[in-house]
Order: sequence, then structure tokens, then C-alpha cells
Amino acid sequence: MVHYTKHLTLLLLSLSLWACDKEAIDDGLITKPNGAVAQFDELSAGRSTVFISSSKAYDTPASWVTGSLSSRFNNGDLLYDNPYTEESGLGPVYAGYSCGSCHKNAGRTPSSLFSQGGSGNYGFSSMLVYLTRKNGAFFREYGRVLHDQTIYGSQAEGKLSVTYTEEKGTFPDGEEYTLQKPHYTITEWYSDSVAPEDLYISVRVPLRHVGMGQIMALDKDELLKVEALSNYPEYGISGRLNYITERGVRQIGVSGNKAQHADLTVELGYSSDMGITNTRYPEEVCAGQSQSPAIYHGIEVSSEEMEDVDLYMQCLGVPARRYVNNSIVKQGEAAFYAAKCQLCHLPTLHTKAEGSVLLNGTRLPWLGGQTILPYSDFLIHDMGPELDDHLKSGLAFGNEWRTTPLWGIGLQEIVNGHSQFLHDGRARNLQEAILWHGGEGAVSKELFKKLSKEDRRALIVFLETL
Amino acid sequence: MNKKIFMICGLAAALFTACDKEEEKDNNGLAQDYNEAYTVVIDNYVDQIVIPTYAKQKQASSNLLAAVEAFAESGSQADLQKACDAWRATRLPWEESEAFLFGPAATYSLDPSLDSWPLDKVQIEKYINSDIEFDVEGLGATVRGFHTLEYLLFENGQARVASTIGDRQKEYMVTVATGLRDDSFKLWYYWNGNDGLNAADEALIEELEPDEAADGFGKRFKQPNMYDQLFKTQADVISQIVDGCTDISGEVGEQKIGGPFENKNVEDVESWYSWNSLEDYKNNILSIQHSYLGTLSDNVNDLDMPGDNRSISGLVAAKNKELDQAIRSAIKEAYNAIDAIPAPFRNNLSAATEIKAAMEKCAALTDIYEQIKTIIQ
Repeated sequence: MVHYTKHLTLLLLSLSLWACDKEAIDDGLITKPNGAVAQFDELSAGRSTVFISSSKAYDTPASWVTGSLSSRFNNGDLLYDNPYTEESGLGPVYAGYSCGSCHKNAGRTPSSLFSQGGSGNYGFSSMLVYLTRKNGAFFREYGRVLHDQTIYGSQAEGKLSVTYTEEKGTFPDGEEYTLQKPHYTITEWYSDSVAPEDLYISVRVPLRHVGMGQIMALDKDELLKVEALSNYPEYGISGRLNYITERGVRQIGVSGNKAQHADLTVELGYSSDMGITNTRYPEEVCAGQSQSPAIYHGIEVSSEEMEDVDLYMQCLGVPARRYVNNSIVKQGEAAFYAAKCQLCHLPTLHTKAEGSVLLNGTRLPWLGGQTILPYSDFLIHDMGPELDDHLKSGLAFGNEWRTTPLWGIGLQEIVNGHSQFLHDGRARNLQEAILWHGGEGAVSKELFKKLSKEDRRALIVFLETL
Repeated sequence: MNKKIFMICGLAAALFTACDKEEEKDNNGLAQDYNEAYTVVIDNYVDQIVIPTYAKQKQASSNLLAAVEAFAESGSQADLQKACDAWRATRLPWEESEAFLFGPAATYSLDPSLDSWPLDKVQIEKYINSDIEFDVEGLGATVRGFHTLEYLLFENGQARVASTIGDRQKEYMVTVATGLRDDSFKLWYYWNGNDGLNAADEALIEELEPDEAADGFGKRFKQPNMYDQLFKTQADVISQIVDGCTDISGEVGEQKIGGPFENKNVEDVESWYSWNSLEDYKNNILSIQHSYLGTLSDNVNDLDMPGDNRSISGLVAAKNKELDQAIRSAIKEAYNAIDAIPAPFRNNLSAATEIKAAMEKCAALTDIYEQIKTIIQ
């Protein structure tokens, strides 16, 4: 009964907010390229919504990005895509040579995991390989990330390989499906080999950089309320916020696969992913390792440049929901609710009034006071033993993952040419991603499986229009 | 028939049509929703613009590999010049393809593999001065592709002095040219699929083992439907064609021209070893012209000729002749403004008047081209 009251309260709260928001948006009259006034359901990120369904969908500035903001956005875009070389500071060990090498068009570059079965030879592998000892400690010679790429003359820290085994399943209506379960191994360790029995490997393919500004501007008070309401024992769901302490400040984590970051990790990305030293991480990422005992090349990217990259990401528009009145989409939306997906993939949230503040203090008030449709509660949930990577991040245990925001997810194939999903890309399409849900997602998975084939297909179409 | 009966019939017919349309929508947005005018335009775009452009690049890159191999064998200045000419001939269709860098170019990371800039000179020299065995499969994006080969072939806009090029450099050239041929082939194959393969194509497929799942991106492009994650409607497809064009017009103005101009750094100028930069940029604009007019003519004066209904231009003109004319003018003005920048671009970064004019014309082209979306339903 308590929970029903909570449900009712949440529903009434949502409805009242929805009505107010709708009125506000109507006043603003946001129009689409064809001149029609946008429906409320189409506005994924309020005034930051962009009506683009092409390969540019993730990589277009919001309409309020004008004047000097536009110049900085363009500079940030250029820096984001600019390939670093040995001369400009790349490496000596790294994972990618630019932000854009792994986040093509602000999305998810297909990983060499899919095409080459592991680290590959492209000079970037579009994935991060996290390592941890079984007692949770890091390996001294390797740190938290295995850098599988290197400039000439240095040795990569190791090379990852993946093999898959197939797991077959059947829907209640008799339709069969197959999931591919990954098995990772690392070879060519540059230093002492790590014994497999003391090693956990967690592979992460890049996240879409959709809605980064909105995520940074999330109303944290609302997230606390969402956490309080996320308690649905009848569905086995009980999410919680992750917290991260950095530079002595404890904050709610919102970004990253496990909500293990409070910011967009631009500085960390330059340092750890590319080997580009900066004011926050002035030493090479491999400094202290036996092959690179004391490397210090000076600052290779300035704070101003990093802030422009931060600005670029936060000023990106969020693609609008599409085909909201299509009958298949409506059928799929109903199926989404029938499977209780919305209990974690919460459609509606809000940004705080003041918007977002960048690394060096630039304010982005345009991100403030917006109703957004991220389809995420930004909580971490137990996703079951199959997805347990044994890597603790902040409060999140290995089996806990942040609810993936679904906005823009259906445009991933247009933007990046592939439909691999989940943290390590093991799901080859959205249906497989659903079928990998375990733990707190298990009931929804079972409800999905029990849907008619037509409803299952419609639900996928609905997701593709987000 | 009196007026009342006529009106009732008319209303009934209208209702009937509305019901039909609703049924069509309920019928999953499949072929029944296709607009014949859009079908013609999309088919023409795939069959007459994209695939022929990549076919041209495929052939040119094969010629380029042969020319580089001939130079590596002879070491003669004449053969080096032929290799340089072949590089320019391959560069042309690539730049004319940059209005469609979506799809396979992104899916298979062929764009970075072919055209990463800046290249990593330090790494390239280390490779060449090492004794490692070159393997095209093992070359990262910043040490392969057009610009690596350009760096090895050209100096100050001309072929290098052949006698200064050592055996390891020649060997590396051949490796890079092989990669360029392979990547160009894959681009064409992934759009074209298995239709009309010749013996040479089949031999390369056997050697390169391209992704078997790809059965011609072009076919999928032509057949959007609500159950396809890629494109759900023809309007999505047309939007993609338009965004491909605005993407490159924006990049030419803001990044390719604007970047080095703002930074005053010659090393930011793409294609500066060959001094081909301005040709690259003009060919990018021609890529937009091709996409808009639906023909592969490289003559900007064709923008003054009447269009036909197989093109985006035809779609626009049918709804808004003034917009069609404005877009045609904007393409031509952007091309001419780039053409007015003194060559070579790398030595004329101080030509502020011409450079700013080109940047403005590219921005104007982007803006006006975006308006095509106002008429796509």
C-alpha cells in the first residue's frame, strides 16, 4: 500500500509538472524545420532540442549557441576531433588519438572489438579496458586502464582479445533468440603478466555524448526525490544514487556507465585516454611504470582548450523524439510502459534553474529550467550477475550500472553505423540489450518476453524514435 | 449532378482518401508510404552520384597503386610524377564524395583511415627508419591514407626529387597506396553490394574479406521503413542527404579554411605538401552541387541550367522556385569565392579579404541549404 501511494504521488507529481511544462513550452512555441510547432513529447531537451535525424544528430549545436559562444563551440569541436600525434603529445601509451576517434560525431565509434576481435590495429580501439585485482586493488604496473595503443618505440601495456559463446533462448511464443556472451583475455603484457586468476577485466565501449549539458545541469534535489521513490519491491527495483569524492568534494555521480563521475571528465580523458598532460593531470599517465619511469613533457593541452571542449559537449543539441503520433510508435510506447521500463528509464526530469557551469567557470544558463526527456533516473541498479564486471566505482558494485539515458539511442546506427549496445557492446541490437537485463531489470525483461511479437517489435521501434 | 451531391461526393472522397492514408500509416510505413518524387530522387542519388563517385575513386586508387609500384621499381622522376598525378586523380573523387561521409565511410572508419589530418610525421619517420616489416593492416589512421602518401610524394606542391627517396620510403609508399586502394574499394563495395562485380572486384573481395553483413548500403538507403533502425521514412533519407551537404559546407568554411586562417598555422592546412588545398575545397563544393543537381558534372555553370525532377533541386523548385535559385547561387558563389583565394592557400593565409569572403559564402551556403528541410514532409 505504501508503494501504491508512492506511485500515485509520483504520477500526480508528474502529471502536474507535465501540465505546467506543457504550458510553458507552448508559450515558447518551439518550431520544427518545416514550420510546425513542436509537440511537447518531441522536445527531448526543451530549448536545446534539435530536429535532426541524420548522421549529424548528436553533433549539432543547440539553437541558443550563437555569437562568441558559437566561436568557442566551433573551437571545441575542432579540438575534440583534432588527432594528436607524437609531436603534439600523444601517448606514449594511449587508448585513442582524439576525443572524436572514439566518439565519432559525438557518438560511439564502432570498436575494433566488433571488427577485429580485440585491440586491433587502427591506432585506436574505441574502447577502454579497465583492470582490477580480485581484491579490488589496481595493478601497479598498469593502473586502472590498460592502454592498448602506443606510439612507435613504446610498448602497449597489453592487447585485449574477445571470443563469444552463444546462449540461446526462447520467447514464450516460441520465437528463438541468441545472445553472445563475451570472454576477454589479455596478451602481450608489456611488463609482468597478470595471472588470470587475479584479474577482472571490464570493457567499456564509448558512451554517446548526447545530453551532456543537460546531465550536468540536472536538478540534484529532484534526483534525491527520484532515489527516494525508486522502491518497487513488486518489480524488484530499488535504485540508488552513486556518489563520487574528488578533490575532497563528495558529489552525486551522474555521468559514466556507473554514474561514477560528477563532471564530463575532459581532463581525465585527455590524460588517461590520450596521454595528453594537462593542469589537472600534469604527469604522463604511464609515469612511474617500468617502461616509462619519469615522463614529464609539460602541459600538452591548456585549461582554456579543455574548457572549450567541455563547452562543445554541453552546448550540443539533443535530437528530438520522432514520429510521436505514428501508430506503431504509440503501440511500442504502450508496450514500454506495460513492461515497466519507465520505472528506471524515467521519461521526464528537469534541469536546475541556473543551468550548468563549465570547468573554468563559464556559465550556461540556457541549460537551466528545462523539462527534459532522458528516459533515465540516473540511479545505479543491480543488473544481475551476467553484467557483473566486478569493478567498484564510487558506491557502485560490479553488478550496479547507471540506467542508460535512452534519448537519441535510435539514431546511433545513423550516426555511427552500428547497433551494438550495453557497456561492452555485447548486445547486437536493442532487443538483445533488453534480454541482457537481469537483477532489478529481470522483471521488465520477463514482461517484455511475454509481449506478443508485434508488441515487442513495436517497443523496439519506439526506442528507435527516442 | 447538382452542387450538393457533388460536394457530398467530394467530402466522401476526401474522407475515403484520409482513411486510406491512415491505413497506409497503420500498415507500418512500408512501401505504401513512398512518395514517387522522393523515390526518383533517392534512387538517382545512390545510382548516379554516390556509387559512380566511389567507383571513380576505386579505379583511380587502383591506378595510383600501380603508379606507386612503378616508381618504387624504377625510381625515376618521370614515374614519380605519374604517381603524383595519380594521387591528384584519386584525391578528386574522394573530395567530391565528402557530401556523403555518412554510412560506410563512418561505419567502417574509412574516413579516418583515408583522410586523417594532421598526420603523424614523427611516427612515419620512425617507421621508415626502423627495420620493422610494413603491414597495411597494422597502420593507424594518422600514418596512412592520402596525406601520408602525399607527404612521401610531394614537396612544395611538386613531385619530390626522386633520387632523394630511399628504398624504405618507397616500400612505405607502396604499403600506404595499397591501404588506400583497399579502403577505396571497400567504400564502393559497401554502397554497391554484390551487384555487377567483375573479376577484379571478386578477387579483392576474397583478399580483403569485407563485412559480409553489408549487402549494399545503397539498397537500404532506398528502402526506408518504420522497422529499419537506420532510416524510417524517405524524409529521413532526404534529410540525411541535405545534412551531408551542410556538414561539408560548414567544415570547409569553419575548419578547413577558417581553422588555419585563425591559427595562422600552415601545418593546419590540409593537403599542403601537394598544394592541392584549394582544389580539395572546391571539389567539396562540387560534391554539394552533385548532390543537389543530381548529376556528376564538375561545371559550376550547370547551376544556371534548368534542373530536372531526379534531383533535390527538382524537389525544391516544385515547391519554391526562389529557394531553388538561391541555393544554386549560393553553391556557385561559395565555389567562386574559394577559387578567388590566392594559391597556394598555405602561402596566402594573410589574404584576409578573400579568405573571409570564402568563409562567409560557405556559411551562407550552409544556411540556405538548411532551408530545404522546410519543404520536406
